[in-house]
Amino acid sequence: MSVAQLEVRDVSRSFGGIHAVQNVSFAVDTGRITGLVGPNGAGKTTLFNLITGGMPTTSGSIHFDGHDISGWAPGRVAKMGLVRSFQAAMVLPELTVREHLEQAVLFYHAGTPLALFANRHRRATREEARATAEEVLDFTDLRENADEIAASLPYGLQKILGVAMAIAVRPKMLLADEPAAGLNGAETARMEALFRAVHAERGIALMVIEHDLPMVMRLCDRIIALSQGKLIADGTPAEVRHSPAFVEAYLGSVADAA
Amino acid sequence: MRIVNIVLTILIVGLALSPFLIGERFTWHIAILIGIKALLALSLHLMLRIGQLSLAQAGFMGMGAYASALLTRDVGVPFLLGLGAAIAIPALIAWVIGAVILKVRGVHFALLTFVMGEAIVLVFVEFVFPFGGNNGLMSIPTASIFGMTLRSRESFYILVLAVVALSLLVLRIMLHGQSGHILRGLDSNEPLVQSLGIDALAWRRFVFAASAGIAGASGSLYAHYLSYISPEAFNITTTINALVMNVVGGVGAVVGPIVGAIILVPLPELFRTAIAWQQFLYGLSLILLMVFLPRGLVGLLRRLK
Amino acid sequence: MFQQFLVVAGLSSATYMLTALGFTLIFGIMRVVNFAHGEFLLIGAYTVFVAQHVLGLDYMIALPLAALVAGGFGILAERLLFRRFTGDEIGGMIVALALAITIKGAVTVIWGVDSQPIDRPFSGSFEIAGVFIPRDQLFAAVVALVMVVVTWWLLNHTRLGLAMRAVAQSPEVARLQGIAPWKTYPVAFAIGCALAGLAGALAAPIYGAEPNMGDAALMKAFIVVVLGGLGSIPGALIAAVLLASIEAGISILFNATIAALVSFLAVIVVLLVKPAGIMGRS
Repeated sequence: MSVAQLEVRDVSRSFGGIHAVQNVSFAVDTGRITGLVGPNGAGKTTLFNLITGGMPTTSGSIHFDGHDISGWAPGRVAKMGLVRSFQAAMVLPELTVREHLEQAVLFYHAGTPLALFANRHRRATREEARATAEEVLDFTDLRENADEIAASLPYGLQKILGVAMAIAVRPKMLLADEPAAGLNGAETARMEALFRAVHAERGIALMVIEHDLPMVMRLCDRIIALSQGKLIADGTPAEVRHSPAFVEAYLGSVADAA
Repeated sequence: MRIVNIVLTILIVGLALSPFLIGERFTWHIAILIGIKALLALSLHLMLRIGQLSLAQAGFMGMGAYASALLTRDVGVPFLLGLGAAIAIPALIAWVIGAVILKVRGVHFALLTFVMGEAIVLVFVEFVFPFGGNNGLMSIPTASIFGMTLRSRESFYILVLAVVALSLLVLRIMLHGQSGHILRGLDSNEPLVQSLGIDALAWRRFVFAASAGIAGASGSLYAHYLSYISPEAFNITTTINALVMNVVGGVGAVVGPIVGAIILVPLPELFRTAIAWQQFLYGLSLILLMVFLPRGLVGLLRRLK
Repeated sequence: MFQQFLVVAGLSSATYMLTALGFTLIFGIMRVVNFAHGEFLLIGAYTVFVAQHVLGLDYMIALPLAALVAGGFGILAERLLFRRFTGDEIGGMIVALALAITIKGAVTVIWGVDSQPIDRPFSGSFEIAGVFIPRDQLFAAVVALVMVVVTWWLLNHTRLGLAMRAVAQSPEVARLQGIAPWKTYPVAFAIGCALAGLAGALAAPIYGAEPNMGDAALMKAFIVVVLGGLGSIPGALIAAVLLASIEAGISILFNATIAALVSFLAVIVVLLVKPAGIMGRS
């Protein structure tokens, strides 16, 4: 029996009278790929910010691995094994792809100044960073770009690097915010394949916000749908696709947009 | 870039040792003042490196000066312990208040530290016991280390050099290597760095504390060198002068504020008649530099190379 | 005692409003923290001095002249300096600090550090309900209040004023409405600095003109504007009254330094708890 890893309990968050997230509850088990979907403004990114962004909840609580992590600083949440990748490609200036992966591991070990300066095994940490970087380069097919400055990579590869850095710190669960946004068909396929491998080969649980519905439906074994801050459907892709609330919220908004 | 750094380093080391060759009283005096002011400029530099303009640095310098002066003069603590307290007290205060005020960024942080700096000076003015009010503190004992009194300017200068060297070492450890990557990452891409496990606030508090500690050391040396301190020495003008040194030298490299101090500190001392002109010329050169040479002299050298 | 408090608080409220209004206007529109704001008071005060002692003009003529001169310097500062640093907060602050020490330095070089005498247009005081009200301070407060009202009217009833308020609210929205934000910059700077110059000219006959008079004024403007919310005009007006009352009350009960410390403490607390200020939106 698997233990619930991430549990969102009756969470609400409002900004000056606007209810971005309202009474949302769900639990995500180990070893799943969960998709978080919903029209623009449904509260998906706010929910991610509540989970890993240091944003305090207005009410309700968030638990990970038995700890109440509501309002924890992002760094602390990451140290628990819950790591996030971002909507926009994010890289550090002047570092190569390989250095990015090494730094990801080194950052993970140096959460606080005390952790860095009191670390007696710095040489071992550096070795580990180097080894992990090589291993992740292969795993993510970034080897041929290893010595390029990350900022000069094409957008799609920068986003792959973002996921690669998250993998390098060996999280238990990865929250990916619109991994396919801004990518072309081939890049989306590569990202999708990477996620499958992350899940199947590394046993990392995934939670994905995505607008590319076909991709989410293919990739995920569970879908949680939000609309206007409320949870409107939760189940397998097939169940959610046919749930009336989902159809109304999603297709309704698409119709509005058109 | 490497070559410029090496040349600059040799030049600075040469200048730092030049008083030993010249050996004049006045040269020692200038050299000591450059060292003390350079420390304050370095403390400000450290905060600029994490993208925060702290205008409370002179206040931290004042804390160090008063702590060291009071402990050695009235409590009878040895000088080195006084210096230690002058570093530890501002650093501790910065670390504690940093937990709250470092959540504030940009303009608001500058305003907050500006008001804090003024408040610190007002505390020195208002609480005549123990700070002596507007008259300040007099007959602060001469620095002495293990029974050796540093009465001569030469010996005091060596102490100043040692403290500057130590501070540079601290800055080097913080700004280079792993810690440097983290601080640069926090400045350029905070969400990413945090998502990989970095406790951003802890790192900023650490930098703020180190910066306040270096400013405090500067204050202690200042107090024991002049043997007299008064509140107005630690007001906003002193912080601005340290800022001018950073902008003149350039905020991109640790040598920047040192170059700035070497250029700017001797000017008013050399041209006594020009003291009235000092602030005007400081201000004007700062404006011109910001407009025409925003990366400072060190930045210019690097570009020329 | 209470009447005393009302008079002191009332008189200083008006001058704080005048000083803070210009400061917050410039911040609201350009996002520039004008550390040189106090030095524009200095320009106003010394304009009065020069007008009286060199040109032989009457105070009542020197007063609007001071506002004009300070406003003119403001336009120059915006054109030559601040415009280059729009969007660069730290750069803008450093330039403002540089401008502040340059102006103060120039004044010191020309006239020295001593306080310069200014002929008083009014002297003596009169008594109402047992409190003495100095005529010169009352005059300053009344003029300040009138100018605050005039500025308020300009901002709410002229096209330019409305454009400025739109920019202060949101540059993007203003741009969508066809307002070019940068076109309002020189006007904002001119008005902000002219108000500061006027404040300096009003203070000069009471306290004399001396190079450091801007420091205290800047500090007051700071406190008022932070309490009221950076860039918020109604916030600044309310906070000016608040600060004047706190200061008057504590000065009467304890002393002026304690009053200043308390106001600093209030600023620090407000900045930490509600950085947007009492009236600001977060």
